[in-house]
Amino acid sequence: MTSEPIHAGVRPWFPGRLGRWGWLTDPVPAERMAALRVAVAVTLLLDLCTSYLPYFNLFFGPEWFGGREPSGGRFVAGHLSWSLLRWLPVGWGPEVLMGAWLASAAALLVGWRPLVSGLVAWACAVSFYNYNPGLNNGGDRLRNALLLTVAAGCTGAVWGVSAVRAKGDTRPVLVPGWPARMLFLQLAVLYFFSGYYKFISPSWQTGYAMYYVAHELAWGTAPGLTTVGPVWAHQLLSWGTLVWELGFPVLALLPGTRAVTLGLGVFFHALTLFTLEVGPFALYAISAYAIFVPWERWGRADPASPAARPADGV
Amino acid sequence: MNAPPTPARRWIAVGVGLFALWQMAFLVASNVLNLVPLRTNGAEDDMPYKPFQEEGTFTSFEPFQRVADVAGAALDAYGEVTGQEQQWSLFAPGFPPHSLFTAVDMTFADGSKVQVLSGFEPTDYNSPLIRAPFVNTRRYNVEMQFTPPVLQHTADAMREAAPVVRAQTFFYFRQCQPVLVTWLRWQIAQYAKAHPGRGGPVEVVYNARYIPTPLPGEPKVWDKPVRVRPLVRWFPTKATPADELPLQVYDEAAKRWVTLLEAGGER
Repeated sequence: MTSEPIHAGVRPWFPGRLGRWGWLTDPVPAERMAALRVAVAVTLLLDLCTSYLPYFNLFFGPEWFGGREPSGGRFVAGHLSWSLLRWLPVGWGPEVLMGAWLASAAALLVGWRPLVSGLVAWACAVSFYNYNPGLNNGGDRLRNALLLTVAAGCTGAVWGVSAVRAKGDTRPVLVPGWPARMLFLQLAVLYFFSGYYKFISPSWQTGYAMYYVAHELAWGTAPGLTTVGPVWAHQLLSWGTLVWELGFPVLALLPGTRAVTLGLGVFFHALTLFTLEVGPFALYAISAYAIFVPWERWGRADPASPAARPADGV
Repeated sequence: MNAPPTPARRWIAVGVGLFALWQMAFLVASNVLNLVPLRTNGAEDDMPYKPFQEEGTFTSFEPFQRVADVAGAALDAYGEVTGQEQQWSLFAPGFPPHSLFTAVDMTFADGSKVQVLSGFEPTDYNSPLIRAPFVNTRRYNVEMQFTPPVLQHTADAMREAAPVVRAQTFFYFRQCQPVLVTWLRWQIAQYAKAHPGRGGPVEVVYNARYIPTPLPGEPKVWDKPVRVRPLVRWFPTKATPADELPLQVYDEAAKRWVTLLEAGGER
């Protein structure tokens, strides 16, 4: 069997020099995108089952926030927010759409037609996101972006029921790299501009921001633990966060700092997951990091071979 | 891609390529344009969409400003359609020196009163229980969605910037009336379920509870008095006159409840 890689997905056309720019055009191992699909699907299922369904009646019941009037805030003239729930009957629409959302998440998990199931999951996500905005935080916007990436990213080429590789075929599978680069860009602007808004804030300049976050009784899920430590440690954490966020777009690209930068990102999100009510934001953000892990090298006899080392996720 | 591309596939490749370029341009440009003063459509409802958008003009050269305004509007529109609005802050600008919870005071027909505190408010501020991560966040978000506009209102700010505080408070609680009424109805229903036979309240007051945080350098003890601030009042058993909004807003400076009129203005 030849080790010539299998190319899956549509290779996009880019005009002029862009078509020769490796960062944009180089393919990535299909395992990266498949890992993203699985991570997003697991997080989505967890999100739906543990934070939506237990309060479904409050969030979407017609008597409560599912009624037409409370949800009207985002559907005003001059804006293009939409929701399938506005066209479905309030009596059973939310249940049916939630069923479709769960089914599409399960389909993503097993890799069944990820373009279709990703788009269905995205349409459901945007519908619920707009219909009751009070449930959301930034993680839900990130979720919407992730689902678009999963749908567009040829994420079912391996590790799923729609995989392109026949059983026993060990050839590497490559997929177009632009969705991975797009996701990197999303993370880069997310961190950089968050860093910018922090940088101009007196609370972050003095370093007391993290002190007050750590001592927050409402937003903190474990304030008894996070208040441990001297003030200067909170200040260092504040300034470290600033440097990391502002530096992410460059540090995550440089080979020498990439692993540490990405590792710090996962650590930061995991820390906030367990100490703050950021919930979905932390888990969806961690899911995005799946594209940076060299899954394709694991289990290969010769991980140093060129076929096993195509362009990486960023 | 191993097989020669068909014409249809070539068109698909062009479409995918253009989509990819547009998405990447959108991500960068949308965030950058948040920092550029733009003339928005001036609608009051823009606030929850674009909390970080610089408003105004960045140049007196009208064609440049116009291009930026149009570009900003187009990017916003795409962000709304796809659910990818680009407004990232992650804990900026920062937290005030207090924690903020809400509470609902209910007054019943017999004159008796009860106070329903948030289920998230610790009973002992010095030994708060650890809450499970993730699973409560959406329930938390629903309850806390009314607090961001008043979160930064420290006692000093309320004294020194009273007109700004008043404007922010009145603006927000005019906008969120249907949602907040729904939340108050839910609170009443939950209380009725736990206390069957009690009947419904005739008056409901929604309060902010500011719990001072020990300042850096102070002993880590939560012993300062809680500052309670009435925000809105509702009479659930009374029909609201057609020209009024159901929730009255408390004017902290004037120490009185103010009725908001449906068409704008106050009484």
